[in-house]
Amino acid sequence: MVASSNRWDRSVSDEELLGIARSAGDAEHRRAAATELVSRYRDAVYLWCFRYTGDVERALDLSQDVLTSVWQKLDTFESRAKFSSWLYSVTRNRCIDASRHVRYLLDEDAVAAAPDRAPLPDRALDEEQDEAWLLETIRTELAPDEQQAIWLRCIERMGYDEVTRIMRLENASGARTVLQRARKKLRAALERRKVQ
Amino acid sequence: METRCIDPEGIAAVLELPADHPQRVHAETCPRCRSLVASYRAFIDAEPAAGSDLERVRPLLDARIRADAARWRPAQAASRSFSWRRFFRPVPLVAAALVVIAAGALWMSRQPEQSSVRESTSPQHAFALSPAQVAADGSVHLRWSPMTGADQYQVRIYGPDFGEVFRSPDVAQTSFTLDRSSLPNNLPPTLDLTWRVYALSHGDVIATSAPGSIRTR
Repeated sequence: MVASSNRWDRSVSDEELLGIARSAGDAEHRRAAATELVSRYRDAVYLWCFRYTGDVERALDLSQDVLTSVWQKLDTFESRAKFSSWLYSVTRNRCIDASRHVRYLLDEDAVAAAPDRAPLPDRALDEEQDEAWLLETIRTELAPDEQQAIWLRCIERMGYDEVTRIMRLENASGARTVLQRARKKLRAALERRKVQ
Repeated sequence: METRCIDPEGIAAVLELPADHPQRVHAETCPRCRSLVASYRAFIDAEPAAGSDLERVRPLLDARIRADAARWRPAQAASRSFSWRRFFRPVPLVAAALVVIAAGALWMSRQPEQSSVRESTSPQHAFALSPAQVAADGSVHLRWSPMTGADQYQVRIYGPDFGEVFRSPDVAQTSFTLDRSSLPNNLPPTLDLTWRVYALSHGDVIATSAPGSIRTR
């Protein structure tokens, strides 16, 4: 493991490592600090990409892209943000950019489990709507818990169990029920839009 | 009071704000922001998921990190390179180098062998901010405790969306008065700002304070 070969431990903060990496000191010292900093987030970046894509090879490609981009941006990183949330933002944006389309109405898991019975009308609806309209509709038509369920499931790509846990839902069907209700409202809003 | 949905980059800073800070309250109540916070926490916690094959992937990622590290060419800190080129000529440079080497050898002979980072007594939030004082004329007086090893300080102020709206010149004292006219004109007259002090040593940031709040009138 790369991190263990360096001289720093967790008592040295990310920001201190970043300060050393960007200082005017010895180049090898700076390189070691930067290596420690990037290595600290190796698992986090990969696991987030894996959760987002659900595919080991795609997650590996994406996480390698993210880690390489960190090196390219180290010298220009604006330290007004914490390094951890900046890296989270870079990882999240890379994953969103790499995904073809955010599906608000269609459940990807349901399609994967039963491809022959995929709800094709929903797929078409999803792809023909402009995202700005959908986001505005989510904000104005859905209850707060429904909005959060859609955000966690469709944008952050969290599993049903994770959404259920984060939202502290107690009923057995958890997030599925809330998401079904949210999607039903979105479909109704779409129908009204088509009529107008 | 204006609060806006948080930018993913600013999440960690928002989570460090006091629980009753309007931006923090917004982050805990807005469905989108709550989702972002949950997503960020999932990133930080990095729980291995079933099927992620993490053990197999780690050596591949480490190899990439090593390759990127080998390719990385650290940029020169601007202030240092500027002063070297401008003020040093070859002969004085040799003399200066000899003085530095001699001083370094003397210093090393008197110090236990330790990493300069490990012996640092400057954890990230090692110095404290006093509550911001807003005067009747709108100016804001900011004070903080001294930071060991710092020779200068810089104050940075962030707007409701955590975009930087002001950066002070480097100052040697542990206080700074912000004139209201120094802030952008397009900010509303009453708003919550966040401030942070950066402790500097020879131009390098050695520590940052925890964020503090300013409510302007």
